[in-house]
Amino acid sequence: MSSKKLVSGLIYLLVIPLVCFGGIMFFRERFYSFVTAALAILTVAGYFLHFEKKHSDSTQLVIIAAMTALSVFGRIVFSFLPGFKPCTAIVIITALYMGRESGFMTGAMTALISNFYFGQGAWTPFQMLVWGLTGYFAGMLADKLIKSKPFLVTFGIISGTAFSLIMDLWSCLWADNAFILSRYLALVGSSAFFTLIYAVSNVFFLLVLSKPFGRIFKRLDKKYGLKN
Amino acid sequence: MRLSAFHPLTALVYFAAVLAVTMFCFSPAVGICSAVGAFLFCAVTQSCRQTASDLAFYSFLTAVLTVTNPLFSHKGVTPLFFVNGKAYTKEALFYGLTAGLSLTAVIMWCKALGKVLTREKLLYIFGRKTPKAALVITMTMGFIPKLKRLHRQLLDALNCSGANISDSRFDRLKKDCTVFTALCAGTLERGADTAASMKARGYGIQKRSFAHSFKFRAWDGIFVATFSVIFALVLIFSAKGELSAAFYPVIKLENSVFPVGMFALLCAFPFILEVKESIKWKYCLAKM
Repeated sequence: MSSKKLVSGLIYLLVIPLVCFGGIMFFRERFYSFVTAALAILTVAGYFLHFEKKHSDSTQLVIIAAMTALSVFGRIVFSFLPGFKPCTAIVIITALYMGRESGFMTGAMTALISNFYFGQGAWTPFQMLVWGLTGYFAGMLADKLIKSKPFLVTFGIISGTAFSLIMDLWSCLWADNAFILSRYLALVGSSAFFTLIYAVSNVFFLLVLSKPFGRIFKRLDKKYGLKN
Repeated sequence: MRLSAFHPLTALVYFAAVLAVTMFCFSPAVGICSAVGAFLFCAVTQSCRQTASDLAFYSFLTAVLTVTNPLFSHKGVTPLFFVNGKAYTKEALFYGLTAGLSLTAVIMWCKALGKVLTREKLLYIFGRKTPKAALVITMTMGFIPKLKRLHRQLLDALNCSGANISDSRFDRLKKDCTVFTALCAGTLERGADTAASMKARGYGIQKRSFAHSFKFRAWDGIFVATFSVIFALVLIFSAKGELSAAFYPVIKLENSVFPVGMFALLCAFPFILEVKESIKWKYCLAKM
């Protein structure tokens, strides 16, 4: 079993440099955008396959689905304030109470499914990756984040800002096929207002929702036995 | 047969091939062929109004990218004029135009993909390898209309009780937060119920089975083979450098007629099928 795992892991690790090499060979001019796209897709796909292999019970799947639906729906509920949405906060909260795996899946699924409504595109894999990683890191730091409010607020600010900065970096690489600092700065500048709103809304929703969610998950655990 | 009548895998192979070439072969010829093909397909499958608004928006996007690119990139040897002492070059202008075309083409193809590969077909394609993720997606899509209904009920209940009648933004936010929290609690309770019920019925004991009625027919095989051959040819020519464009320091376009023609044919494919079907339909009507 473990040797089989090792082989599949090795194959996976071999695919990445092969993809980079193929990109350089076939798509000379565009190899930056090809390689970044391929790596994002491979990472997300790899995590999905890992998730498939692991044993997980129906409770985890249903909670991932419910939290994803809530975060997608949250975008519609609060749509009267532009850019003000609870998605990231809900991904982080899921990760806090259900672990990093559920956090990653909720983040990636939120990106995928909300894009069914708002438009799929070449950016979908990146959004999946960035939101997924937000959930993953939140799950890793769960104990500290639950205990300390200031730490939670900092995490909210960082994740909001990082999301915006990384997506700008992607647009920049995509448009120029090279990193041009002046364009990157122009993009960051033009999206600064939204970056600020993301950060503020993350903090707001984390503070407003984290306590009720703590209560909800505690009750669910008592009633249905979540962690078994 | 329309593209949407083919097997989901056929359509997937088609879109993957077109998108890969469009995204990664950076040349004006590829950009134009691809954008025109995608645009024609979208134009025959949607209303004229939508097409006009798409045309206006994407022309604007392309124009913005074209005009602003030389402001950020000063490479190239043919300055047109100077902005803040930096050269505004012809090469950078053309690079921007190509980038705009290819971006427009990618967005339009994604739109076409959404029209052809509906959620059901996507689940059919990817659900077999990743049954759990497919289940999560299906359940999420099921939750959303239920959430809408529950949200409406909660909001009505709150309004009836006479809480927060004022219309200020702060009050509205407060009310929305109250309703949203209740919504979360209600949804998760229902979810936990669903999970318990799934467990009781033995979810996860056996492999998941699927019920779809897509058949891979001979035509699908022929089309997949054709797409693959064209895609392979385009890739080979691209690797040989016959489908490339260098912009800096001087513009050098190397576009052989053969690969560009092949790719144009590939891009026009869904449009041709669509037009053929509608002609057939009109002809049938005329005969009756």
